[in-house]
Amino acid sequence: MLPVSIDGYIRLSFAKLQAVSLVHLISGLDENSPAVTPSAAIATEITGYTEWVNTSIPTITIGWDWQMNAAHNHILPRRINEPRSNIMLIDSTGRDIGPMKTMIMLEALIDELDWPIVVRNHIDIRYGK
Amino acid sequence: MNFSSGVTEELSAGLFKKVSNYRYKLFVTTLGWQLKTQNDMELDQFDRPDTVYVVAQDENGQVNGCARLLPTNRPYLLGEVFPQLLNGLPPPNTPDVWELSRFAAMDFNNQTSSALGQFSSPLAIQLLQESVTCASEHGAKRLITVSPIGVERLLRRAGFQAHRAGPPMIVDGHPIFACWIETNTSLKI
Repeated sequence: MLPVSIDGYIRLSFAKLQAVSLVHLISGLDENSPAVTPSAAIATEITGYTEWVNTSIPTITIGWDWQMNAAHNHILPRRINEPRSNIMLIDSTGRDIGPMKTMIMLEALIDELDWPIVVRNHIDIRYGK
Repeated sequence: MNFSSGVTEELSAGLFKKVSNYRYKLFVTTLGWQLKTQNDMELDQFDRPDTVYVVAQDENGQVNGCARLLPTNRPYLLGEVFPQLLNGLPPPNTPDVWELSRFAAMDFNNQTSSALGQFSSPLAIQLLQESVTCASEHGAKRLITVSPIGVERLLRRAGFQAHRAGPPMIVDGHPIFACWIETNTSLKI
């Protein structure tokens, strides 16, 4: 069982994190806040969020934003912006590597996951293809 | 833009009622949240004489944003209603940690403002910064909030270091979560 610290973080090494099996929780189109600024938005681009967790307690949570060209059915979403989580990665001495470095490592982890097709299928079902 | 803050009796005459009406219009009428209401006012058990409010008003005195601050050593929303969002940890109970709730930044008199985009506007960023400053002045070293996940983007844009307290919970198809906000550090991205 992964321990959760009093500050809410789950602390673990990147190697341990890589061994955690993440499952899809929910994805959606942006409703509360755009993932890109209006000046950067293109009319055919849609943005949204996706949430992934592990299946044990306490739970690891990672969420990130994505963007997709709605005009092309075969296009998969791509990650944009930084991931958000309750993870603080630690180094070999057990020290925190810090939120910025953790974020960069999480980006690498996400980009290794086979998430785009999962999100695309979920969005198609949730909102109707 | 004018910002006011304080407990109910410290707000200017009639402002507390304006805030209650504003919350009703936004959370109940516009967003459809199922909340306690009376006479077009949205108020709950956490709106007490000791509750601190931060209010944004436009140049005409119309409320266009608000936030509610509660110390966690007295009853608060996350601790009483959503403790399951804390990933198994007990809810904080200390005067050093304050809860931010009922955060809203929609300008009903501005046609470009919308409930859907209320977490992305300059007003929202300013109101968030005012709220964190206000909480700090009351002794908060950290804040915790229960919010729609969209607030994370606002926190990043406003330069705050924040992280999740646990996984989101799906309510009416929309994820809400608890989030820690540091008051004394910023993460400029």
